[in-house]
Amino acid sequence: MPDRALHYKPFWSDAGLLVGGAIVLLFFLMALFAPWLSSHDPLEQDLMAGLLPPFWKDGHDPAYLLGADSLGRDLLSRVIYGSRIALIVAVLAAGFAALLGTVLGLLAGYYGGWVDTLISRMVDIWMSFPAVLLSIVLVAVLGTGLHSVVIAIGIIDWTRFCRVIRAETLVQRSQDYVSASKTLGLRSVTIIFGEILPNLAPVLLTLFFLEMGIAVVVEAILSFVGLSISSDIPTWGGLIAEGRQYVHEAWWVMLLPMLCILILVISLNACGDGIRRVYDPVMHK
Amino acid sequence: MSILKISDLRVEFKSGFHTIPVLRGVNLSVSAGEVCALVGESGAGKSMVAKAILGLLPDSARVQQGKIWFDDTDLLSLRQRALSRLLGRRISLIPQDPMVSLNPVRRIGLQMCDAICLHLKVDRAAARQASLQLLDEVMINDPERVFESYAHELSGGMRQRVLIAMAFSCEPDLIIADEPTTALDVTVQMRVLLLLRAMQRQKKTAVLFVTHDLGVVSKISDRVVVLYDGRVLEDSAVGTLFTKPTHAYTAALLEASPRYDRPDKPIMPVPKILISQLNAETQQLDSVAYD
Repeated sequence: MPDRALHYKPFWSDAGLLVGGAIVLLFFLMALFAPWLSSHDPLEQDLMAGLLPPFWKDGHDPAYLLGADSLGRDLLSRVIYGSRIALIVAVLAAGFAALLGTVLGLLAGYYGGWVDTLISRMVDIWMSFPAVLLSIVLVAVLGTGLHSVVIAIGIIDWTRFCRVIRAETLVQRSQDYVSASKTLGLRSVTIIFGEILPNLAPVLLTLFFLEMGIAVVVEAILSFVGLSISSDIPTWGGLIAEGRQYVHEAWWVMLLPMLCILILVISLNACGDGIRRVYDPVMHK
Repeated sequence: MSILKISDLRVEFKSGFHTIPVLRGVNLSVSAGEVCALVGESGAGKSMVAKAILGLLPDSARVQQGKIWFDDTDLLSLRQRALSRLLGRRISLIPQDPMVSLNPVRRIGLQMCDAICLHLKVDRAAARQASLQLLDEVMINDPERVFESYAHELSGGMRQRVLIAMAFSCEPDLIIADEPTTALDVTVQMRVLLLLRAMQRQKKTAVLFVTHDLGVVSKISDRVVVLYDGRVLEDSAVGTLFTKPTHAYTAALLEASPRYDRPDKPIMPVPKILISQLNAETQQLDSVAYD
C-alpha cells in the first residue's frame, strides 16, 4: 500500500501551474496597485479625446496609450480598474460557492441516506437550469451591486463543489482513519470538518481556481447586459458592451477587455489543473 | 467480574432478498484486566464481533438479536451520542492496519490530543504533556519528534506504537485489538505484542484480542475463544487450550499450525471430514433459527 500524501511534487515543477500562477499574480498586483499603474482617473472624461486610437495607429495621443472610449476616458486605465471588480467577484463568489457546496457535499457524503438523497436531488434540479439565465434572473430579483453578483454566482455554482466533494467524502469515509477516529469517540462534526476536510484540501483548491475562472466569465456576462455593478464603475463586461457600439469605427475598444478575460480565465484554469497534477497523489502513485 | 459480556449475539448480512448469517449466537465474556483472545480462520466472524462492540457494523449488517453488556450498559441499545462518550474513554480500539488508520494530513500529536482533550476535559498543553508521556511509555525514543510528525514519516511499527498509545490514552477499561500485528513484519510483531502485554498488565486493562495466529495467542492471552463460522466452539484458559483442547476443531487447528519450539512437528491440514461435520451442524442451526 503506497503512502498517500507522501509523494507531493514541488509546485514549481509544473509548468502550467507556474506560468498560470504568475499571470494570475500579475493580475492581482494590477488590481491592487491600480491607482499607481493607471495614467488617468478611469472616470475622467475628455470629449476632445473621444475614440482616440491606440499607440500603433496614426493620430494617437501618447497620453492615451491604448486610446480612449467615446467619452474620452482612458481605455488602459479603465481596463486596469476593471480587473478590481473581476478579481473581487472571482474570489468572493468562488468562496461563497465553495462554502455552500463543500458543507452540503460533506454532509451528503458522510451521512448518506436521506440527507444524501435530498442534497443530490437538489443538485440535479439545480444543474438542469441554464446557469446564465438563472444568474440574470437572480440579479434582476436581488438588484444590482457587488453583493448580489457574488450571491448569484454562489447560489448557481455551489453544485460543482457539492458533487465533487460528496464523491471525495464517500471515498474518505471508508478509510480506516475515519473509523479509527469514530472509536476515539470523536463527534461526527469533528470527524467531518477536522479529519475529512483537511484531506480534501487539494481538490478544494483545484475547484476553487476553476470556479474563479467561471466567476470572471459570469461577472463579465452580467456586466455586459448591465446587471452587475453600477455603471460608473468600470468592468470588463461593461467595457465590451460599450465597445460593441463602436465596433466598426473603433474595434480596439473591445479588444483589450476581451483579451484580459481570456488570459485571466486561461491562467486560472491552468492553475487549477496544475494544482491537481501536483497535489493529487492518485494521479502519480 | 466481567467487564464485557456478549450473550447470544446474532448478526446477519442482507444481500438482496437473502440474509447471510455471520454470527450465530456468540457468547463470550471478558473479565476486568484479562486478555481474551478471539481466534478463528478467515470469515469466522472475529472482526464482526469487534465491529459490533464498537458500533462500526457496515450498513448492510443487522443485529438480529443478542446483547453486548459493557459494565451495566447494553452497547447495542445506545444511541450514537451515548456510544461516542464511551468510545475512546472506556473502550478503545487498536486497529488492524497502522498504515491507514492515522489521518495522513494531520500531525500525530494533534490526533493524540483530540481524544485526550475530549474525554479528560484538559487543555491542549496538558494533553500534549500526556501524549508525550504516552509516547515514552510505548518505547518511542524521541517523543517530541514523533509528536510533530506526519504518519507517512513513521515506520509501520512506530505507527502501531502510536496507535497503542492512543488506545491507552484515556486509561480505558477495555481495549479491542483487531489483529493489531497482522500488518507488521514478523520481527516487529513480537516487540509490539510484548509491549501491549506489558502495558495491559501495568494498567490492568482488559483486552479482547482478535487474531488468527495461535502463536500470538500463546504469547499474549489468558483465555481463548475459538470461533468457527460465527459460532463459539471452545472457550478455555490458554494453558488448557494448548495442552488439552476440548473441541476436535481446536485440536486440528493446533495440528495445523507450526511450532517454533518443535520445528520437526508435522503440519497437518484440518481434516475434511471435520469441516463437513461442522458445516452440517451450522446448517442445522440455521434451519432451526430461520424456519
